[in-house]
Amino acid sequence: MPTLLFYILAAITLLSTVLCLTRKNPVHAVLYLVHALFALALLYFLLGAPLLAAWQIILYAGAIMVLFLFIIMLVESPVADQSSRRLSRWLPPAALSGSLLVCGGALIVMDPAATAVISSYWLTPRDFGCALFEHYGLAVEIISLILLFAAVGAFHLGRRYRPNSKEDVS
Amino acid sequence: MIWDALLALLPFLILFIGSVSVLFVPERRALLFGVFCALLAAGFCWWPCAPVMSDLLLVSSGPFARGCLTVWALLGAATCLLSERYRESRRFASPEFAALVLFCVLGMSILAASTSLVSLFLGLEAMTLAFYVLIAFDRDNPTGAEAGLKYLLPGFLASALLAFGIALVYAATGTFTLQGNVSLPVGAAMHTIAILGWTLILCAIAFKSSLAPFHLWTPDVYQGAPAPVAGLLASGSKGAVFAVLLASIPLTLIAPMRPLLAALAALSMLAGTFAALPQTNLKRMLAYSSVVHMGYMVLAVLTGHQAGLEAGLFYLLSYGAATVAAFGLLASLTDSNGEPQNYAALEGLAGRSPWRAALLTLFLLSLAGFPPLAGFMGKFVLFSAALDAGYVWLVVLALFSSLVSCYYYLRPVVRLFRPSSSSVFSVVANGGELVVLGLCAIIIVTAGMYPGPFFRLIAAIAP
Repeated sequence: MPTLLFYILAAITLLSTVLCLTRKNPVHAVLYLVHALFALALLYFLLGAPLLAAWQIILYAGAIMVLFLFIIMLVESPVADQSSRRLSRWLPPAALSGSLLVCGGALIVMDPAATAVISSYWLTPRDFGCALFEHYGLAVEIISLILLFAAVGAFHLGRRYRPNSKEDVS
Repeated sequence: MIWDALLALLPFLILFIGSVSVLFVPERRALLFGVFCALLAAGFCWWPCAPVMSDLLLVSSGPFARGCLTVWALLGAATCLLSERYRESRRFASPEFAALVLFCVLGMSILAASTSLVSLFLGLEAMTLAFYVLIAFDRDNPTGAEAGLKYLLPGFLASALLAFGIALVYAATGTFTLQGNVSLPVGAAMHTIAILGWTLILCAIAFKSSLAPFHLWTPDVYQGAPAPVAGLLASGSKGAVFAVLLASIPLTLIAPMRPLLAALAALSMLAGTFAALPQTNLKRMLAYSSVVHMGYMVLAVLTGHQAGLEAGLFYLLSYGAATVAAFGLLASLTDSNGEPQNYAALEGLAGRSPWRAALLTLFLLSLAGFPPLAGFMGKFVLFSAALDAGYVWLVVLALFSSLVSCYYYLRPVVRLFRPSSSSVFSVVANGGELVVLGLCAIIIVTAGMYPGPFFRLIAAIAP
């Protein structure tokens, strides 16, 4: 049963990623990406990492994708599309979400904690934190530096005024 | 324990603190402050520190890592010095520029010092992220933005390949470490997965060092990037990637990848050579020539013995010095109209500034491998090491491509000495630029005529 679930979830991940890449409407693409990330979270849960699964949903499928949607809706004015009212357009996402819901339910019922293939690797939040900050503490710091300098770079490339005009003012 | 760790990380910390604090330095002083921080980090590299658990720190503090860090820090200082007048003529925001150069040096240092695949990935990402912004730094120049985008998209692809490769290697071996006696797993299924993972990692490395089927971004990016940044990209980023490939990744892991590496080398030499022949833009020509040089560097990886490694490091030094200097010279000729990239614009340079024409000739001749310059000595030791390792066909190919390379290196040189009536540009180089160009010229001439001390230095730091 876990093997079957794995293949179903992997297929959903791949399918929704392909759909995400091929959609013309960016909002649709983001929604398919949410599907892919959600299926990935269920895969983590299946493999015995519930904390990672929860974070995947909270951070990626939740926060970051909502941010994506906000940005897309701020940048371009949505065009009212009459064809989106047809039922057939709603079928693929509905099928994907439905199967994800069924898989998630099945996972909760199955409780892979008890029957995980690699049950000795059941990862508690405590183990996770220890591994992250004891063994990979420096890596966490380097990642934070990368994010800081990404912000510096974005600030430089994105700001409106020119550096020479700033000099003129001062 | 914590003090030992901090002491071992001191040069990295200096680079980081410098790159953050330079953001608060006034516009005029920022680049000089960047030079100061880079030199400070280079100096503190050799502060004695107790050997610490480098698998815990993810970066090694061994002599090779420290030697690389010194070279990258000096490169960063050179880039800042070369950008000083360049940024005035192109109106850059210098604090951000200096901060990103220092951060780029930090990334390259982490990369060259990495003892695990995690720090390899993070170092490469830090370096590449700084380059994304540095390449597109000149916002008045539309080709700069285009170049930035052209570096960004292949860069994302390479990062994805690298992450996927690392995940597969981890799945097969259960460890990220590159230290000690790591070898490929013996079981058939896991062995295949590990080979697949290493192949993906090598593809990502080939992207970053622009080896032949993955080199298509190189000419456009070099052409659009500011000349000092292009110099750093051509020497530092490729040097850091090859430092990892030569020293950090154990040969037992690369051994099954030899046919792939040989194919990459052969393709790079051929594709780079034939694409460089018709170029009339100095930066594009240097881009294709760097593809050829990276093809030669793969020979050093293929030899798989100590002499080959040292020959590769010497070659990297001679190539890096000549490339940084050639791009730096282009930067020193830049005025508010832009860079004189085309051969036509360089015509008659010898009449207007004979010293710089002579230096550019020297750098291009060294890249072509004329004796008694460093390029010749580098090619000699590298090709003889490859011959010892039995790669005769690759050496024949390398000799052929370096013979042909004389044509495309000498084409701009001839134009320099041709009299030209139009004096489009007459820029006086400033002190910093002259220091960097002079130092590079001294390195190139001494390493070519009296290479003994350089080889001893390399043998002392080589792992």
